[in-house]
This record gives sequence, structure tokens and C-alpha cells, in this order.
Amino acid sequence: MKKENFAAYIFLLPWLVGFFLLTIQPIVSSFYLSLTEYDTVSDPYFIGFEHYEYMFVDDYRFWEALKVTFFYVAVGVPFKLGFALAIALWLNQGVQGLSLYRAVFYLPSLLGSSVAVGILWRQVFHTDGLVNYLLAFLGISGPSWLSDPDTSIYTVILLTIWQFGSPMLIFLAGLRQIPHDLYEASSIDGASKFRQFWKITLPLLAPVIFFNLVLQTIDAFKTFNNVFIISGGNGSPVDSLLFYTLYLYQQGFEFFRMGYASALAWVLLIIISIFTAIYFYTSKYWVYYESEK
Amino acid sequence: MKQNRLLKHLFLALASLIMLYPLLWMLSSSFKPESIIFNDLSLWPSQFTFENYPNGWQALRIDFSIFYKNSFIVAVFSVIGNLIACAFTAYAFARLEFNFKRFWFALMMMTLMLPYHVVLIPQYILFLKLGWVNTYYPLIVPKFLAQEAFFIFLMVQFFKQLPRELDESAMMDGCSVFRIFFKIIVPLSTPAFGTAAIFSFYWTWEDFFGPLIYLNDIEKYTVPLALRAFVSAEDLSFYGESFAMSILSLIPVFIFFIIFQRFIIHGIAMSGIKG
Amino acid sequence: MSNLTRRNFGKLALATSVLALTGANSAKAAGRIRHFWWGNKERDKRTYATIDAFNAAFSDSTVVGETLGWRDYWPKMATQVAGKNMADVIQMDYRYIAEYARRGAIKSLNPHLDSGAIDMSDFAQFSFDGGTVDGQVYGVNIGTNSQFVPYDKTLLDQLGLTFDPYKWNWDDFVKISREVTKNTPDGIYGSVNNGGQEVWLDIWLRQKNKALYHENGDLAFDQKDIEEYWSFWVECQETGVSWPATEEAASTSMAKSGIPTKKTAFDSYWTNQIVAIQKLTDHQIEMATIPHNPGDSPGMYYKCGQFISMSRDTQDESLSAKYMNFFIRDPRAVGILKLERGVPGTKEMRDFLKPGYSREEAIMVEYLEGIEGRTKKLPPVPPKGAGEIDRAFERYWEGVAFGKTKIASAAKSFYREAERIRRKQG
Repeated sequence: MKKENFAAYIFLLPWLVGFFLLTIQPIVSSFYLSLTEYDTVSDPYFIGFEHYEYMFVDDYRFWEALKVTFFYVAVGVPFKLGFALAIALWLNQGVQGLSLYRAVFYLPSLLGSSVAVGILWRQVFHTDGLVNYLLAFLGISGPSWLSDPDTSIYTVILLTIWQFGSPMLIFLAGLRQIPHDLYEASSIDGASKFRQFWKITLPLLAPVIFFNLVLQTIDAFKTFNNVFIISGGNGSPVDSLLFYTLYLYQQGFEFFRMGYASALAWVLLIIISIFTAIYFYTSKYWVYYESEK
Repeated sequence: MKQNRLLKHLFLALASLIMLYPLLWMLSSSFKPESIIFNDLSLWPSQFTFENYPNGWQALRIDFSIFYKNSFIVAVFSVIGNLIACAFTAYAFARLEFNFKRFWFALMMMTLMLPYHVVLIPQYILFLKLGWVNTYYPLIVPKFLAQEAFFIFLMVQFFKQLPRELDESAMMDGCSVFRIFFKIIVPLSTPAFGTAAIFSFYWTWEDFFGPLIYLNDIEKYTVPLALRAFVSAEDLSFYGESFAMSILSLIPVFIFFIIFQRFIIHGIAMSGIKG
Repeated sequence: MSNLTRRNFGKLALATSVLALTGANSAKAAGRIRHFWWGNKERDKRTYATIDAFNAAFSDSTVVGETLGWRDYWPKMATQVAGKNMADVIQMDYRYIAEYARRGAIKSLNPHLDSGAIDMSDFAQFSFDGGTVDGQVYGVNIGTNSQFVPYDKTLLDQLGLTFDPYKWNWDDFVKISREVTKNTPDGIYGSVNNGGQEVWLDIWLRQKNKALYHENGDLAFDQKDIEEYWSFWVECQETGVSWPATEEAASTSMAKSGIPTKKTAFDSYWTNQIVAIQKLTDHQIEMATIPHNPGDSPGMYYKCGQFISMSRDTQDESLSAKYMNFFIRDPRAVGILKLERGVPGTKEMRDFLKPGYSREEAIMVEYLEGIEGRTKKLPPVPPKGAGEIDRAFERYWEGVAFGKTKIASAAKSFYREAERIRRKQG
């Protein structure tokens, strides 16, 4: 392939400057810190790979955190993307009041993880809150969602699903970039809606699906704000909400063990990288870029 | 046919209600006096009051108009920075071949994957040395230097959706890669830019952690940071005012969304470009 | 970029990172100091007003205020400590003062006490003790506190139950709580459950002449104590003395705890929170001590609710000292701050404020004076790792409370973990 080094590096210039000026040093520092004992007050001192050893051999809370986070990713991401895609497809077909509905579905995402959302969510899932109120209509006696360690994780999962507006928006944008005349042409040829979906929409949307998949997974692993405001900051009850980043935060900012927190962060980075690499590797089987046909 | 449409609308309306209920509850609570907020589950306030709004607006030492101004400054600059810088970077990754391309791409993805909390302290020290603490620079400059990898990746994927034939035919006409970028790629990517603009604005608007760490003076606080002063676990909280101010803080983002979603919806028709 | 350059670059980056971490930052302007505190709407208003008063009184210097909520305060503090960029005067909590002092983040105040720049001469002994770490004073007490059991007098009157708030014992507590649970509609109980409250464990141990930690940081209790303590509270849960575990786990903020939600007659708080609690309910709330059996020592103590300390990074020690002194002694300051952070440490200021007390403030002061003689010496400053142990205690209790672990095995696991945490922190 013909190389356009000069042009490419011109276009990359802002990023390169930013990366080397602002980003690389903190990253390298954070790795170095993971090899030290650092309480943020006094200077760090070198202890080699002790943290990593401890993490895998001795730290049961590390495994707890992994378990909780993995469960969340495995359940939350598919559902969230599923909803996002379904609603996006539907809205894309043209509905009266489309822009209104689009706005409505996106609105929850706008709330983000503000303090208000935390209060809101606790209210909705409270023992006498809306969810249980509705369940009562169906004759089900709802559990105390937030204070029962078995159910608390579902409140966080539902929170992220409720905020499917973001990936939905991206799907919509992707759908909009699919040329209309493709659909028209295939209609003329007598293709059914289902066939159109399978043969036109899905393949052409693949890059965007891929994008959402990768990013939602990364995001889900890194979830912090939502959990912080719902669990009150300590993963209770009984560590049922001890998400990985929450555990990391606790270690670094509450227990003065920034070195260990850094080590935890790097392990997370490796885990996420593995997932991302798998996504990228398998993408060549199902993601066809229009530009590379 | 008509029945289908009616059903569709009914379903959408119901779904909307479920999606919006928590927000509606917050809205209605903002009109209730503090003492009944958690006792009154209904959406219609049993006691109606407007006081949360003016009280909340002036609750802190400075009133919220300053916080809004600050948030706007940071958000608008961030959007501009992100759009420009990330578009450049994404073009290189999406369309050009060059040495070490995979290496840089992997590095860029890595910045996306590292949890924020752990680069926090080294980054703080870095900005401290640059003298940027207690200013908006740490919040804005990284955007102009394409350090928000999410947008790079987003645009890369969107650019890749555009047919290469366009580039190729332009090159046959003697266009440089620069011209292709400005004359072809950019105009065709309005949905991508619209999406990026919305996300960029909204994320910056509601980011509290960056401002928390880098801003010392309360006069410089942004809206989400100010909102956190209302609710305290171990003390009196002012939920009504917190909700009122939260509702108000949603409005600019919502307006921004309404404006920019047009770019997403009115995608360019591709007919006539092929062949 | 050749391979060689890349490798060298890596080494260079590592070296600069280390240098960057340990370097000091630029000098600040003299005559200007920063005061950083955690607060809320009310406290912020008063503190800023106090700063204004100081600036008005002393025009040749400037104090600048910075504030955040409790939860945000500490992560920000951590970054500032790491960046050697702390505010000059910071608010400190008893839980952390020892860690910050021992790690060198705050300065000893002895030089200023000796010179009279900061005048604590009419402070009670415990005020000194609270802020003393390894023989030096690191924090000035800005609000005295103690533990108390708030009780819903309106509810108890309705049920015709009375007791002596200063002399009641554990049997009384159990009996009255049961009566409340029995004679009220479902969902209302006698008390909240304190099985996971380290503060209550502390007092319980002290009533038996034990403690949480020795002076040197060793654990001063044993596994059996934890088993006993948890057995008591589990029984409370099961026999209707306290509310169930699910309620306890759901009460994550003051507004959701037992008394403001009218779900319990007894709750658990620090004295300076009486004002806030009373605001949240229309029942009349009064103050009682922690129950103690006659013959046992009462176990309670006066705590210094908050301190102000001088940080390691201050560029103007004398101005900081002057401001701190103003904060605690000057009527212009105290007249604004009043009892919002707790009761002032100096008798002079307490007398100064007396005429203006509200009902809650009056009973707070009355309570604090009333328990004089029923308190013991302040426990030693918590050792490194104490925060982590507290969290572990809560966590293991939750397992027991929800029936997921047996008391004996939870106590054993907790004890082992506490020992391990202490060992690792050194």
C-alpha cells in the first residue's frame, strides 16, 4: 500500500503533541507507582511486583470485585445495546413525532451520573418505591432492591440500561449514513423488509455496531460514578456492589494505598485490552467497511 | 394499517412514560416543599411551591448564573477542540497508510482503557508544574490536542463507512489528501460530527471530577460541582433545591441536543456520487 | 522513530516521572493564605462570612476560602497532598489526623502555642489530647462533640414510656425498644441497629475497660468481644429490639435514618447533628447517653469533632496561626460560626454565645455538660489502617446481619483481617 507518511503525520500532529506532552508521562508514572508503596503523603518507595503478587494470591476482595464487574459487563452490555439498536431501528423507520420520541429516549442519558440520579434511583428502587409499587400490581412482592446483596446489582444494571440513549444516538447516526437508494433499489427488486435488514442494514451498520460494542464494554468495565452514588461509596451491602474501579478508588483515596491502586488499574487495563483485542481480531469476520470492499 | 400505527404510538407512549418517570418525579419534587419530598410518591405535588428555584439559585455564596457561565465556557471550547483535533486524527487512522500506524492506534486505544483515577495524581502533578491548576486549561487544552480518544475512535468508524471510491476518484482528479479531507470527508460526515458535538458538550457539561480536582476557587466552579454542595450524607440536605438546580442544568444540554440532532438526522443522500 | 530512541525514551520518561513526583512546587505569594474545609450550605455560608470578617479586620492580608462536600474533600486533599499543593489551613478529622501528622502532611502547632500566637489556654484537657499525636499538637479543636442516642420523645410519650436519659442501662434499652416495636404499627421499631457501628463497639469495649486500639496501635480487643457484640445486636434484630438488616442497609443518609423517617424511637448520632435531625422531623427529639450498666465505666468520651490544622505546604506560618486563632477565639468569628461545627473549645466563647442558643443548641450544650464526669479519657489516636479496619468491620457485620455468615466465623475472619491490616501498615 502506498504510504502517505508526511500527510499522515501532519494530521496526527495535534494528537502526538497532546500524547507526548500531557498523556504519556502520567501513564508511565502510574505504572511506576504500581511498583511502589505510595501513601500520597510521603514519597513512594520501590517494592517491585509485590502488589501484583498480593493481588492474585492473597486478596479475596480483588476476586470479588472482578466477579461483580464481570457479571455487570456480561448482563448490562448486551441488554443496553440490544435496546439501543431496537429502538434506533424503529425510530429510523419514520414515526410521527419522531424527534420527540428520540429526545425522550435520550433524556435519561443526559442525567448522567449526577447526584440527582443517585437520589432518584434510590427512590425508585426503595422498598416502598415505584418499582415495587408496580410489581405489586402484578401481584409480586418486590425485594428491598438496594439493601439486599442479592438484588442490589440489578439496580445498577438497570440504571445503565435506562441510559441507552447514548448508543442509540450513535446507531441512529450510523443508520442515517446508509444511502436511501440502496433500500429503494432492493424494494424494486422485491426484497422483504427482513431481507433488507439482513443484507443491507446490518452489514452497513457493522462498523457502528462494532464501535458501540467496544466502547460500551470498556465503559462497563470502568463504571464508577453510577455505583459510587448508588452504593454510597463503599460497595455495600456486603461488597455486592464492589465494582472494580470502586475498589481501586477505595484503596487509593481512602486507605492511602495509591501504589496498590495503580497496580489494580494496570491489571484492569490488561483485562480490557484482552477483550478489545478479541473484538478487533474477530471483527474481520463480520465487520466490512464500505471503504474497503 | 391504522391499528398498527395506533398500537405503535401507544407502545412508544408507554415506553416514554417509563423512561421518563424518574425524571418526572424529580421535576415534581422540585416543586414540593422539602419536608414532603420523600413522603409524597405521587407525580402531582400535594403542596406546590416555587421556592426551591430561587432558593437553590442563590443557595451558595455565588449564584448559579456564574456557574452556568463557567460551564458554558468549558463546554463550548471543549466541543470545538474535540471536533477539530479528533477529526484530523481520525482521518489519518481511517484513510491513510503510514509507518507505525498500528502502534499509534493501539496506544490511542490504550488511553481509552486506563481507569481515570490512577492517572489522576501524576496528571495533577504535571498540570501543577505547568501552573495550570485553578484554571480551565487542564479541562480544555487536552481536547484541542485530541486526547479524548473516544471521539477519535468514533470518527474513525464513521469515516470508514464512507466509500473509498470517493477518495479514489478525487485522487484521480489530482486532489491531495488534504483536499480530500476538507472537500469530501468532512462534508459527508455531518452525522458523525453532530453526534460527537452532542456527546462532547454533554460530557463536559456534566463532568464534575475534572473541575473538582483542578478548580479551587468557588467562583470558577462549574454547575455539577456546585450541585454537589446541596446533598450531604451526614448532615442536612436540600433535596428540593438540588432537584430544582439539576432540572435547570439539563436545559442547556437538551437545547444543544435539539439543535445538533438535525445534523444526525439529515444525513447526506449518497445518490449521484456513485458511477 | 528507531528502536533505540524508543527504549531510551522509556528510561527518560521513567526518570522524569520520579523527579516530577518528588519535586516541590512554586512559591506562593506571602500575605495570602487558603483555608480549605468540608461543609454544606449552612457551614459554607458561615465560614465564608468568617473569612470576610478576618479580611475586613486585617487589611494587610488575604484569606481565601475553598470548600467541598465531605465525600469530595478527601480525594481532592489526596491530590493536593501528592502535589504538595495543600491549602495553608485545612480542616481535619480525628480519624485522619494521626495519619496525616505521622506522614508529615500537617505541621506541629507547638511553636505557636508556646508563643501565644494560638491561644488554647482555656481549652479543656481533652481538646488538647484530641489533637495531640506523639506528644505534639497538630490540630485545634473547633467543635466538641460526643455520642448520644437521640430519642423520639413524642413517640415515647404517646406510648407512656419513660427512662432516665443519663442513667439508663442496657436492660432498659432492650425493654423499652421491645415495647415500642410491640405497641406500634408494623414497620416501626425500637431502635436502629448498631452492630456495624465501630463507634458503638468502641464504647461497648470501653465499658468493659477494654478498647479498640492500644497506644501503640495493637488491637486491644479479642475475637470473643466481637462475637459477644454481634450476638447482642443480632438478637436485637431478631427479637424486635431493632429494625431489620434491610432497613439498616437502606439508611444511608441522615434523612433516611430511623428518627427522621419515624421508623424508630432510638437512633445514633453525634451531638452536633442534633440541629439537623430535629429539622427533619416534627416530633420532639431529646438526647440520651449510650446505655451503660451501673458499675461499668460509662465508656463515652468527648470528641473533638473537627480540627483546623496547618498544612506542610503553607508559605506563611504566622498568618496561618493568626487566622486560626481568630477562628477559635475572636467573637467576630465565633459569633458567626456558633455551634454549627459543635461546641467551641474555649469557655470564654461558650459563655459569649450562651444567650443566643436555640432549643437544640441549648440541649446540646446541656447534654455535653451533663455527661461531664461520666466520660473517660479520649481513646488514643487511631493507628494507620484504622479506616480500613472500620470498613472491614461494617462489611463482616453486614454478612452476619443478612444471615450469610455465622457470627463465630465472621468474627474470626474479621479479627484475622484486622490483624493483617495492622501488620501491613506497620
